[in-house]
Amino acid sequence: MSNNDTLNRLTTLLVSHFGASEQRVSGTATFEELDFDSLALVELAMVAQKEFGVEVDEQEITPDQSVQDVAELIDARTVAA
Amino acid sequence: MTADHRRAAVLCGIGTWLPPRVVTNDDLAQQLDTSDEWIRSRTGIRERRVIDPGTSTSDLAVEAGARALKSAGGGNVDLVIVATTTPDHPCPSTAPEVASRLGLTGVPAFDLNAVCAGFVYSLATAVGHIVAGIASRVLVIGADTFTTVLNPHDRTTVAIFGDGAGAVVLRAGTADEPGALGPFDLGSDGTNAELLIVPAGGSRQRGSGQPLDPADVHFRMDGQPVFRNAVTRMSESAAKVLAQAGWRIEDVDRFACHQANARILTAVARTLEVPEERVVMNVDRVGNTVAASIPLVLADAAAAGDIVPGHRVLITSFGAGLGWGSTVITWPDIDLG
Repeated sequence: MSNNDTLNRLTTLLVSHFGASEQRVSGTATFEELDFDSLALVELAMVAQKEFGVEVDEQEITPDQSVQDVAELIDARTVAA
Repeated sequence: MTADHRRAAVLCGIGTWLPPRVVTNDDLAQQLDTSDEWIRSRTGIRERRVIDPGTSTSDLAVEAGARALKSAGGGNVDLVIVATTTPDHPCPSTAPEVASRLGLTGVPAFDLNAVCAGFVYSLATAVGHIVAGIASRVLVIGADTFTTVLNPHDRTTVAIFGDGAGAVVLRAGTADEPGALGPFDLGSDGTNAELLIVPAGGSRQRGSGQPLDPADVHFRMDGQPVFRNAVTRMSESAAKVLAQAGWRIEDVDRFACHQANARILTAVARTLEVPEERVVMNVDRVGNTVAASIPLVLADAAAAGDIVPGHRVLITSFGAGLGWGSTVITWPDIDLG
């Protein structure tokens, strides 16, 4: 379970940086549902790295993952670091 | 501010040439499993120019070079540099033929291959020649017919690249004049050579003793890591050159980024926090024209009145190699021909 702060910050980033619709972004929404293509996922990996200070490889975020999944990935990295 | 009378290279002419044949996304969709919507959403490209059989890189380079010389008010130059990855032949270089066809036989001329960063590398090379006193007026041409190395069945690369040429004339002047180029930031990373590559055609394949695999004569690209490297390298290089120039990001009136793909441009601009309206763009009409990209977008924006004299312009590029480079210029009052 990711902490709510990470999920909230990630959600804000998806709306402010990527222009995702606020109504559609939720923890359970997948990136495919949010219309993120392969290049958007690479950019998300880069932006997440900058925002959260953790290393995220472009292969690690896939279209079938949910926003919650990525928040958990970030949290796992933050704890490990 | 005190005047800076150090010798510098000053932009005094610009010219471009595109082959006349337009290939739209719908044209591509008739031959490949793709669509206008798919190409536009991933690249921002609507159409590109493609050479007809019988045309080569030198033909485009001569047309652009002649227009740049005319824009500079005619006269001779004492060096010709052609930035290209698609020369007319593996040997000799293309620049001597281009120079001769421009009436410049006898003038030193050579090619420079730094792929999509080739034009910025060539500008830096020309500046070096001028500042060192080796040359006083240089014609720099970026020309590529990259469609000649594409796999016609690869919908990704066929959608991205187009053919074209752009050229500038640099003259000896002083660092405080509008149009003075520099400083520069240049860099490379050969550990990622495989990300953008034409495997065959060079000594690695010819010296291998192995039969030629026809698939290896075409360009290959690994899109996701290229995207990440392009955005990271161009953002970092642009930031470095701004620091060297003593400019803040707010000082940048126009941002001319290598026209690789609209998504890369947008991501670089967001990273640098350059407002969208300051980013010049023509990738929608010409695609990625490799070494021709920077002079084409500068000339297009100047012709449209989007870049005007006095504008402080940040230029950055990135390509196979990997290689990247950035510079700055205060746009001079030049005849656009």
